[in-house]
Amino acid sequence: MNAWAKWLAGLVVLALIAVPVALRVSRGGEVKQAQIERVRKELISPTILASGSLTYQTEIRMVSEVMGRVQEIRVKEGDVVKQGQLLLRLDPATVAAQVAQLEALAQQAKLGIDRQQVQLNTLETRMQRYQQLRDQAVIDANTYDDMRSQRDLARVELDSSRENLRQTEAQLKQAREQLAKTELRAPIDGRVTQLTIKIGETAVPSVTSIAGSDLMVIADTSDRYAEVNVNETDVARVAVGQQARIVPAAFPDSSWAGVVETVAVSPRQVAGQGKTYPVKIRLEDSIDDKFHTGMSARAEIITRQGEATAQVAVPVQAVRYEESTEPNQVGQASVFVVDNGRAVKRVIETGLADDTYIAVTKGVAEGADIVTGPARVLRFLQDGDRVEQAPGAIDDAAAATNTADTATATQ
Amino acid sequence: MTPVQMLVALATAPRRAFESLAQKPNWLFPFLLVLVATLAVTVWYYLKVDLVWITDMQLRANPRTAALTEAQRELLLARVKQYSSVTVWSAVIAVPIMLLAVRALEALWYSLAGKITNVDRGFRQWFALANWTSVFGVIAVIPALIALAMTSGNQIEPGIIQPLSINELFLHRPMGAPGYQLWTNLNLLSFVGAALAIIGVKTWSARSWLFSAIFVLLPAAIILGIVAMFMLR
Repeated sequence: MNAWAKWLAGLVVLALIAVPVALRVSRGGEVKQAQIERVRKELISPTILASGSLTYQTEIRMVSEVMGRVQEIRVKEGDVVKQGQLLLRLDPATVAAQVAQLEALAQQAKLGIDRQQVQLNTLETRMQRYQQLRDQAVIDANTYDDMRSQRDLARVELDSSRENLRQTEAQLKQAREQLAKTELRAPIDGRVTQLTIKIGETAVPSVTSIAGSDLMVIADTSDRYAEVNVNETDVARVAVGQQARIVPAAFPDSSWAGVVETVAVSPRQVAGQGKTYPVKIRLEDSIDDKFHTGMSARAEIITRQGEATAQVAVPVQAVRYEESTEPNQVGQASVFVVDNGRAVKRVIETGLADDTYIAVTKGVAEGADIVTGPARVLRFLQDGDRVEQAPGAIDDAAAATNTADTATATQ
Repeated sequence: MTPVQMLVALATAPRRAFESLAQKPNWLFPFLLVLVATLAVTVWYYLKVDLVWITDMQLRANPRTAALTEAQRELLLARVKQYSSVTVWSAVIAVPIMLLAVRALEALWYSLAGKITNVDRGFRQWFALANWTSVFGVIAVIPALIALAMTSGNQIEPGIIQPLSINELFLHRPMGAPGYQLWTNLNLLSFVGAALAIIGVKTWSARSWLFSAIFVLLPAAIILGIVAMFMLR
């Protein structure tokens, strides 16, 4: 009984050791679910990223040339205006009073001139009579000279009054211009993009931006731009005519096409930052109402030169970079090629890259299947691991393939 | 009885083994045997496994940490990589403490239940019973060590060190699946240990099998019931 029990116990122990080992061996290694894509030729579009803001080609900041309380505002922000249209009226009372006063002064000066003219005419007549009397030696020389002197003085006074009238008329003209300036009219066809003054506030003429000096901004909305600052290290690759994609900060899902129109010759230096070159990108006409001047925006300028050809490329996320353990040696890039259901690490040499693809110059050929994701699988994938297409990834990969085919065909 | 004789007796004539244990309640040998075996397999596992990989798996499997952003996850993984030796040493320190605590709790329950049911044995005797009834757990270490030796990579699931668990033998649920923790911690040798403990209590109490089974299994049934309720839902 005891010997039998010992044998039985021994057999049980043996089974407890052998069975789990056998089970593990029979199960083999884990098969990792991965996204597997076929390597194909892609058109690489390297880009430069820059940030800036949206703006219009022409933006006119309206300031008042006369001081006055705002009496009437005839537009609101966003209104479309025509050149010469009345936008805003300042209270004209003070300037109008000044005009009336000067008009009265001018009228008074005219009356004075008339009076002096009559007086001069009288003196001229008397002077002629005195001349005859002097020729006949009826009057002495002193009396004649007094008369001549009175006439000359009257002439000078008349000239002086005329000059005074001209001065008053000039002041009157200036006052009338001031009066006209109490009405602000649109200098161009466009849209009111900013309205900073309110009825009752005082408009202040000033060259610097102080409260009350800026009234409104009128912009020519027919030309829309993104003005971005390109880092000095990238500016050499930016050229007029290059295509760009603009993504406004508030609408990250929207992107507008644009074309580089100008690249600044001189840099702009912001304190504490590197030098940047302002680049103006004209947006295409078909942009929607999401455009807001002054809004921050990000630009991707496509710096591809000339007629580029498609190259063997892999998705950027498929490439794994490892630092070299040797000093002064460059690290190596690799991808996992799927060979007979196993991930095989393949060292590659890379070329141009854009946001989606990176060209492979050596190491992987077109048509090879490579592991492209997901990131958590790719991160821990090891040479020789068993992999299979993740069920959900098949449709995605097929869709990506179709998209790529369409893109290639279009090009 | 020498410890080896005791081992053989437990497997072949457990009543005799428990009668002997009542006379000489020696607990050090089974405790050390289980401790050394557990330490060996645990330390080897942690030295071999890719700690960043296993931590990433655990973070994704745990509902409370699954929602972490990639940046937060990367930060945690970087810390794990930085302090990998700490993890190994933590395991070395935690294993004896945990083992001692579990055995002491078992013995405490037996003492308490013994006092209530008039099974007059001391804590030392119950502590010895708890250690000897779990000694066959070392058997699981052997297939675990074999499996570890056979594994070439370093991405090794923790189930490998629980080769006789219900999950490893029958279910093969991945980490994070419902019931994974429960079925991984429940193994065949737990049943062997429970059976031995029931025989031991019956021998020492001279009561019925039902009494002995309730005496031994009541706390485990309560704990397992609570765990199952949380993990299987």
